[in-house]
Amino acid sequence: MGFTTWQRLLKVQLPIAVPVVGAGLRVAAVSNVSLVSVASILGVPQLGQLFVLSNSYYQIPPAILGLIFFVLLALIFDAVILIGIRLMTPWRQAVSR
Amino acid sequence: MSGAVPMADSGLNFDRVSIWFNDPSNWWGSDGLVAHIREHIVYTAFIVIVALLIALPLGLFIGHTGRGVFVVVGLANGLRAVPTLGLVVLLVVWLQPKINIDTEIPYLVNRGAMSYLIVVIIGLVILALPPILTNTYAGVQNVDPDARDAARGMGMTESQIITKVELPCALPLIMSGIRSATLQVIATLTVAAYVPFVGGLGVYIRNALGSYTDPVFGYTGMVAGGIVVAILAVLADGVLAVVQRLVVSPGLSGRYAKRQARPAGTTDSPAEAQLAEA
Repeated sequence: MGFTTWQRLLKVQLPIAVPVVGAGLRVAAVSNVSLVSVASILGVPQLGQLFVLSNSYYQIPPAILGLIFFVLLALIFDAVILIGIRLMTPWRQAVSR
Repeated sequence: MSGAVPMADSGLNFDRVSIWFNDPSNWWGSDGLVAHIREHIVYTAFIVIVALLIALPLGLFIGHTGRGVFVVVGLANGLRAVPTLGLVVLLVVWLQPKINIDTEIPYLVNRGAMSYLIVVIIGLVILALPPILTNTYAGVQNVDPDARDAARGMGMTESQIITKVELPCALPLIMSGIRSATLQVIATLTVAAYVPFVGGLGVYIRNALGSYTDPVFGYTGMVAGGIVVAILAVLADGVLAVVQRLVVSPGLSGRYAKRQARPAGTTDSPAEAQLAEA
Protein backbone atom coordinates (compact mmCIF):
# COMPACT_ATOMS: atom_id res chain seq x y z
CA MET A 1 0.00 0.00 0.00
CA GLY A 2 3.04 2.25 -0.15
CA PHE A 3 3.38 2.92 3.58
CA THR A 4 6.65 4.33 4.79
CA THR A 5 8.39 2.65 7.72
CA TRP A 6 6.94 5.19 10.14
CA GLN A 7 3.42 4.85 8.75
CA ARG A 8 3.68 1.07 9.01
CA LEU A 9 4.83 1.36 12.63
CA LEU A 10 2.08 3.79 13.68
CA LYS A 11 -0.85 2.56 11.59
CA VAL A 12 -0.32 -1.22 11.47
CA GLN A 13 2.11 -2.52 14.09
CA LEU A 14 1.11 -0.24 16.97
CA PRO A 15 -2.63 -1.02 16.76
CA ILE A 16 -1.87 -4.74 16.57
CA ALA A 17 0.26 -4.43 19.74
CA VAL A 18 -2.54 -2.65 21.67
CA PRO A 19 -3.89 -5.77 23.45
CA VAL A 20 -0.45 -6.74 24.79
CA VAL A 21 0.49 -3.15 25.71
CA GLY A 22 -2.92 -2.85 27.37
CA ALA A 23 -2.39 -6.01 29.41
CA GLY A 24 0.89 -4.61 30.71
CA LEU A 25 -0.78 -1.27 31.40
CA ARG A 26 -3.49 -2.99 33.43
CA VAL A 27 -0.98 -4.73 35.70
CA ALA A 28 1.06 -1.52 36.08
CA ALA A 29 -2.00 0.63 36.84
CA VAL A 30 -3.44 -1.78 39.39
CA SER A 31 -0.19 -2.26 41.27
CA ASN A 32 0.53 1.47 41.17
CA VAL A 33 -2.79 2.32 42.80
CA SER A 34 -1.74 0.27 45.81
CA LEU A 35 1.84 1.59 45.83
CA VAL A 36 0.68 5.20 46.04
CA SER A 37 -0.48 4.47 49.59
CA VAL A 38 3.17 4.36 50.71
CA ALA A 39 3.49 8.11 50.12
CA SER A 40 1.05 8.74 52.97
CA ILE A 41 3.85 7.90 55.41
CA LEU A 42 5.56 11.06 54.20
CA GLY A 43 2.37 13.04 54.76
CA VAL A 44 1.22 13.31 51.15
CA PRO A 45 -2.56 13.68 51.44
CA GLN A 46 -4.44 10.80 49.81
CA LEU A 47 -6.41 7.67 50.64
CA GLY A 48 -3.38 6.02 52.23
CA GLN A 49 -3.76 8.37 55.19
CA LEU A 50 -6.57 6.12 56.35
CA PHE A 51 -3.85 3.56 57.08
CA VAL A 52 -1.71 6.08 58.95
CA LEU A 53 -4.83 7.06 60.90
CA SER A 54 -5.54 3.41 61.68
CA ASN A 55 -1.97 2.92 62.86
CA SER A 56 -1.76 6.01 65.04
CA TYR A 57 -5.16 5.55 66.71
CA TYR A 58 -4.78 1.75 66.78
CA GLN A 59 -8.23 1.25 65.28
CA ILE A 60 -9.24 -1.32 62.66
CA PRO A 61 -12.10 0.43 60.72
CA PRO A 62 -10.01 3.07 58.85
CA ALA A 63 -7.65 0.37 57.55
CA ILE A 64 -10.54 -1.77 56.27
CA LEU A 65 -12.19 1.27 54.70
CA GLY A 66 -8.89 2.17 53.05
CA LEU A 67 -8.42 -1.34 51.68
CA ILE A 68 -11.96 -1.30 50.22
CA PHE A 69 -11.37 2.11 48.61
CA PHE A 70 -8.04 1.06 47.14
CA VAL A 71 -9.44 -2.13 45.62
CA LEU A 72 -12.43 -0.20 44.22
CA LEU A 73 -10.12 2.44 42.74
CA ALA A 74 -7.95 -0.27 41.17
CA LEU A 75 -11.05 -1.93 39.70
CA ILE A 76 -12.19 1.38 38.21
CA PHE A 77 -8.76 1.99 36.65
CA ASP A 78 -8.77 -1.56 35.32
CA ALA A 79 -12.25 -1.15 33.83
CA VAL A 80 -11.34 2.16 32.16
CA ILE A 81 -8.24 0.64 30.56
CA LEU A 82 -10.25 -2.42 29.49
CA ILE A 83 -12.85 -0.20 27.81
CA GLY A 84 -10.05 1.78 26.17
CA ILE A 85 -8.54 -1.41 24.74
CA ARG A 86 -11.94 -2.50 23.41
CA LEU A 87 -12.47 0.87 21.72
CA MET A 88 -9.02 0.80 20.15
CA THR A 89 -9.33 -2.74 18.81
CA PRO A 90 -12.74 -2.81 17.05
CA TRP A 91 -11.66 -5.70 14.80
CA ARG A 92 -11.62 -8.10 17.77
CA GLN A 93 -15.37 -7.67 18.37
CA ALA A 94 -16.01 -7.99 14.63
CA VAL A 95 -14.34 -11.41 14.69
CA SER A 96 -16.12 -12.64 17.80
CA ARG A 97 -19.58 -11.74 16.49
CA MET B 1 1.70 18.69 49.36
CA SER B 2 0.64 19.89 52.73
CA GLY B 3 3.04 17.63 54.62
CA ALA B 4 5.34 19.37 57.03
CA VAL B 5 8.45 18.49 55.06
CA PRO B 6 11.10 21.20 55.34
CA MET B 7 12.33 21.30 51.76
CA ALA B 8 14.55 24.35 52.17
CA ASP B 9 17.14 22.75 54.44
CA SER B 10 16.47 19.10 53.89
CA GLY B 11 20.03 18.05 54.52
CA LEU B 12 19.98 16.22 51.18
CA ASN B 13 23.34 16.52 49.56
CA PHE B 14 25.01 13.84 47.52
CA ASP B 15 28.43 14.69 48.90
CA ARG B 16 27.06 13.86 52.31
CA VAL B 17 25.78 10.55 50.96
CA SER B 18 29.27 9.51 49.88
CA ILE B 19 30.63 10.68 53.24
CA TRP B 20 27.92 8.58 54.88
CA PHE B 21 29.09 5.51 52.97
CA ASN B 22 32.71 6.21 53.87
CA ASP B 23 32.07 6.28 57.60
CA PRO B 24 32.78 2.83 59.08
CA SER B 25 30.59 3.60 62.09
CA ASN B 26 27.60 3.54 59.75
CA TRP B 27 28.50 0.04 58.58
CA TRP B 28 29.16 -2.01 61.69
CA GLY B 29 27.44 -2.67 64.96
CA SER B 30 23.97 -3.89 65.83
CA ASP B 31 22.37 -0.85 64.16
CA GLY B 32 24.77 -0.69 61.24
CA LEU B 33 24.29 -1.12 57.53
CA VAL B 34 25.66 -4.66 57.50
CA ALA B 35 23.23 -5.80 60.20
CA HIS B 36 20.28 -4.24 58.35
CA ILE B 37 21.37 -5.72 55.00
CA ARG B 38 21.54 -9.14 56.68
CA GLU B 39 18.05 -8.70 58.12
CA HIS B 40 16.74 -7.54 54.76
CA ILE B 41 18.20 -10.53 52.91
CA VAL B 42 17.02 -13.10 55.45
CA TYR B 43 13.49 -11.68 55.66
CA THR B 44 13.25 -11.51 51.86
CA ALA B 45 14.51 -15.07 51.40
CA PHE B 46 12.09 -16.36 54.03
CA ILE B 47 9.11 -14.51 52.53
CA VAL B 48 9.83 -15.65 48.98
CA ILE B 49 10.32 -19.27 50.08
CA VAL B 50 7.03 -19.27 52.01
CA ALA B 51 5.23 -17.70 49.03
CA LEU B 52 6.85 -20.28 46.74
CA LEU B 53 5.74 -23.19 48.97
CA ILE B 54 2.15 -21.93 48.75
CA ALA B 55 1.99 -20.70 45.15
CA LEU B 56 3.98 -23.39 43.34
CA PRO B 57 1.86 -26.45 44.30
CA LEU B 58 -1.33 -24.43 43.88
CA GLY B 59 -0.27 -23.13 40.47
CA LEU B 60 0.81 -26.59 39.30
CA PHE B 61 -2.49 -28.07 40.49
CA ILE B 62 -4.80 -25.55 38.85
CA GLY B 63 -2.62 -25.49 35.73
CA HIS B 64 -2.75 -29.28 35.46
CA THR B 65 -6.40 -29.86 36.28
CA GLY B 66 -7.83 -26.58 35.02
CA ARG B 67 -9.99 -26.55 38.15
CA GLY B 68 -10.66 -23.31 39.99
CA VAL B 69 -8.76 -21.27 37.39
CA PHE B 70 -11.25 -18.42 37.38
CA VAL B 71 -11.42 -18.16 41.16
CA VAL B 72 -7.71 -18.51 41.93
CA VAL B 73 -6.33 -16.38 39.10
CA GLY B 74 -9.01 -13.75 39.66
CA LEU B 75 -8.17 -13.71 43.36
CA ALA B 76 -4.44 -13.45 42.60
CA ASN B 77 -5.04 -10.46 40.33
CA GLY B 78 -7.26 -8.90 42.96
CA LEU B 79 -4.46 -9.28 45.50
CA ARG B 80 -2.27 -7.07 43.30
CA ALA B 81 -4.61 -4.19 44.04
CA VAL B 82 -4.33 -4.60 47.82
CA PRO B 83 -1.92 -1.97 49.18
CA THR B 84 0.77 -3.68 51.26
CA LEU B 85 0.95 -0.74 53.67
CA GLY B 86 -2.76 -0.98 54.41
CA LEU B 87 -2.62 -4.74 54.78
CA VAL B 88 0.35 -4.56 57.16
CA VAL B 89 -1.29 -1.82 59.24
CA LEU B 90 -4.52 -3.82 59.42
CA LEU B 91 -2.62 -6.93 60.50
CA VAL B 92 -0.64 -4.97 63.10
CA VAL B 93 -3.76 -3.51 64.65
CA TRP B 94 -5.89 -6.63 64.39
CA LEU B 95 -3.67 -9.73 64.39
CA GLN B 96 -0.48 -8.70 66.18
CA PRO B 97 -2.02 -8.45 69.69
CA LYS B 98 -3.28 -12.03 69.26
CA ILE B 99 0.17 -13.47 68.59
CA ASN B 100 1.95 -14.48 71.77
CA ILE B 101 5.24 -15.70 70.32
CA ASP B 102 8.25 -13.82 71.57
CA THR B 103 11.21 -15.82 70.40
CA GLU B 104 14.46 -13.96 70.13
CA ILE B 105 16.87 -14.87 67.34
CA PRO B 106 20.34 -13.39 67.82
CA TYR B 107 21.39 -10.90 65.14
CA LEU B 108 18.04 -11.23 63.33
CA VAL B 109 15.03 -10.73 65.57
CA ASN B 110 15.19 -8.42 68.56
CA ARG B 111 13.35 -8.97 71.80
CA GLY B 112 9.67 -8.20 71.37
CA ALA B 113 9.89 -8.00 67.57
CA MET B 114 8.75 -11.51 66.66
CA SER B 115 4.99 -10.91 66.68
CA TYR B 116 5.41 -7.77 64.55
CA LEU B 117 7.72 -9.62 62.20
CA ILE B 118 5.23 -12.46 61.71
CA VAL B 119 2.56 -9.94 60.77
CA VAL B 120 4.86 -8.21 58.26
CA ILE B 121 5.82 -11.57 56.75
CA ILE B 122 2.15 -12.48 56.26
CA GLY B 123 1.51 -9.15 54.52
CA LEU B 124 4.51 -9.53 52.20
CA VAL B 125 3.81 -13.19 51.40
CA ILE B 126 0.41 -12.02 50.14
CA LEU B 127 2.29 -9.49 47.98
CA ALA B 128 4.63 -12.18 46.61
CA LEU B 129 1.91 -14.74 45.84
CA PRO B 130 0.28 -13.28 42.67
CA PRO B 131 3.35 -13.15 40.40
CA ILE B 132 4.50 -16.67 41.30
CA LEU B 133 0.99 -18.14 41.15
CA THR B 134 -0.06 -16.61 37.83
CA ASN B 135 3.29 -17.40 36.20
CA THR B 136 3.24 -21.02 37.38
CA TYR B 137 -0.30 -21.43 36.12
CA ALA B 138 0.51 -19.76 32.79
CA GLY B 139 3.67 -21.86 32.43
CA VAL B 140 1.80 -25.11 32.91
CA GLN B 141 -0.96 -23.97 30.56
CA ASN B 142 1.62 -23.20 27.88
CA VAL B 143 3.20 -26.65 27.97
CA ASP B 144 2.92 -28.27 24.55
CA PRO B 145 -0.15 -30.57 24.71
CA ASP B 146 1.77 -33.07 22.55
CA ALA B 147 4.43 -33.39 25.26
CA ARG B 148 1.72 -34.06 27.82
CA ASP B 149 0.07 -36.64 25.57
CA ALA B 150 3.40 -38.33 24.89
CA ALA B 151 4.09 -38.57 28.61
CA ARG B 152 0.66 -40.07 29.20
CA GLY B 153 1.22 -42.47 26.31
CA MET B 154 4.47 -43.64 27.90
CA GLY B 155 2.45 -44.68 30.94
CA MET B 156 3.38 -41.84 33.29
CA THR B 157 1.02 -41.27 36.21
CA GLU B 158 -0.57 -37.84 36.64
CA SER B 159 1.88 -36.89 39.39
CA GLN B 160 4.79 -37.98 37.19
CA ILE B 161 3.44 -35.81 34.37
CA ILE B 162 3.30 -32.85 36.72
CA THR B 163 6.79 -33.26 38.19
CA LYS B 164 8.67 -34.63 35.17
CA VAL B 165 7.03 -32.86 32.23
CA GLU B 166 4.98 -29.84 33.23
CA LEU B 167 7.22 -28.50 36.00
CA PRO B 168 10.46 -28.56 33.95
CA CYS B 169 8.72 -27.13 30.90
CA ALA B 170 7.12 -24.35 32.94
CA LEU B 171 10.34 -23.50 34.81
CA PRO B 172 11.40 -20.48 32.73
CA LEU B 173 8.07 -18.75 33.43
CA ILE B 174 8.04 -19.89 37.07
CA MET B 175 11.53 -18.46 37.54
CA SER B 176 10.53 -15.13 36.04
CA GLY B 177 7.61 -15.08 38.48
CA ILE B 178 9.97 -15.75 41.38
CA ARG B 179 12.29 -13.00 40.15
CA SER B 180 9.59 -10.37 39.98
CA ALA B 181 8.22 -11.47 43.36
CA THR B 182 11.69 -11.18 44.91
CA LEU B 183 12.19 -7.70 43.49
CA GLN B 184 8.81 -6.59 44.81
CA VAL B 185 9.51 -8.00 48.26
CA ILE B 186 12.97 -6.41 48.49
CA ALA B 187 11.53 -3.03 47.55
CA THR B 188 8.36 -3.25 49.64
CA LEU B 189 10.08 -4.64 52.73
CA THR B 190 11.21 -1.06 53.38
CA VAL B 191 7.57 -0.29 54.16
CA ALA B 192 7.80 -2.89 56.92
CA ALA B 193 10.01 -0.58 58.98
CA TYR B 194 6.89 1.54 59.50
CA VAL B 195 5.90 -1.24 61.89
CA PRO B 196 7.65 -0.90 65.26
CA PHE B 197 10.64 -3.14 66.10
CA VAL B 198 10.99 -4.54 62.59
CA GLY B 199 14.43 -4.07 61.05
CA GLY B 200 15.62 -4.31 57.48
CA LEU B 201 16.85 -1.44 55.34
CA GLY B 202 13.56 0.43 55.82
CA VAL B 203 14.84 1.68 59.20
CA TYR B 204 16.86 4.34 57.36
CA ILE B 205 13.66 5.64 55.81
CA ARG B 206 11.72 5.47 59.07
CA ASN B 207 14.48 7.16 61.05
CA ALA B 208 14.75 9.98 58.54
CA LEU B 209 11.09 10.85 59.09
CA GLY B 210 11.94 11.99 62.60
CA SER B 211 14.78 14.34 61.81
CA TYR B 212 15.45 15.19 58.17
CA THR B 213 18.59 17.17 58.90
CA ASP B 214 20.33 14.58 61.07
CA PRO B 215 23.70 13.84 59.38
CA VAL B 216 23.46 10.09 60.03
CA PHE B 217 19.75 9.33 60.09
CA GLY B 218 18.29 12.25 58.14
CA TYR B 219 17.75 12.50 54.38
CA THR B 220 21.35 11.45 53.85
CA GLY B 221 20.76 8.09 55.52
CA MET B 222 17.46 7.78 53.69
CA VAL B 223 19.12 8.21 50.29
CA ALA B 224 21.94 5.85 51.31
CA GLY B 225 19.39 3.23 52.41
CA GLY B 226 17.49 3.62 49.16
CA ILE B 227 20.68 3.14 47.14
CA VAL B 228 21.53 -0.01 49.08
CA VAL B 229 18.01 -1.41 48.52
CA ALA B 230 18.34 -0.79 44.78
CA ILE B 231 21.78 -2.45 44.65
CA LEU B 232 20.43 -5.39 46.65
CA ALA B 233 17.54 -5.80 44.21
CA VAL B 234 19.86 -5.80 41.19
CA LEU B 235 22.20 -8.32 42.87
CA ALA B 236 19.29 -10.59 43.85
CA ASP B 237 18.01 -10.55 40.29
CA GLY B 238 21.49 -11.45 39.04
CA VAL B 239 21.75 -14.36 41.45
CA LEU B 240 18.31 -15.62 40.43
CA ALA B 241 19.27 -15.29 36.75
CA VAL B 242 22.23 -17.59 37.42
CA VAL B 243 19.94 -20.00 39.31
CA GLN B 244 17.56 -19.94 36.36
CA ARG B 245 20.41 -20.84 34.00
CA LEU B 246 21.33 -23.75 36.24
CA VAL B 247 17.87 -25.22 36.82
CA VAL B 248 16.20 -24.71 33.45
CA SER B 249 16.85 -27.59 31.11
CA PRO B 250 19.29 -26.61 28.33
CA GLY B 251 16.89 -28.19 25.86
CA LEU B 252 14.31 -25.55 26.79
CA SER B 253 16.44 -22.44 26.90
CA GLY B 254 17.85 -23.21 23.47
CA ARG B 255 21.45 -23.44 24.62
CA TYR B 256 21.60 -27.16 23.90
CA ALA B 257 20.37 -26.65 20.36
CA LYS B 258 22.98 -23.97 19.74
CA ARG B 259 25.86 -25.95 21.13
CA GLN B 260 25.31 -29.49 19.99
CA ALA B 261 22.18 -30.48 18.17
CA ARG B 262 22.69 -28.39 15.05
CA PRO B 263 24.44 -30.10 12.19
CA ALA B 264 27.69 -28.44 11.13
CA GLY B 265 27.30 -25.65 8.60
CA THR B 266 23.80 -24.54 9.64
CA THR B 267 24.83 -22.01 12.29
CA ASP B 268 23.69 -18.41 12.02
CA SER B 269 27.02 -16.73 12.49
CA PRO B 270 30.58 -17.47 11.40
CA ALA B 271 31.73 -17.25 15.02
CA GLU B 272 29.44 -20.09 16.02
CA ALA B 273 30.55 -22.13 13.04
CA GLN B 274 34.14 -21.72 14.17
CA LEU B 275 33.16 -22.78 17.68
CA ALA B 276 31.43 -25.85 16.31
CA GLU B 277 34.53 -26.82 14.33
CA ALA B 278 36.88 -26.24 17.24
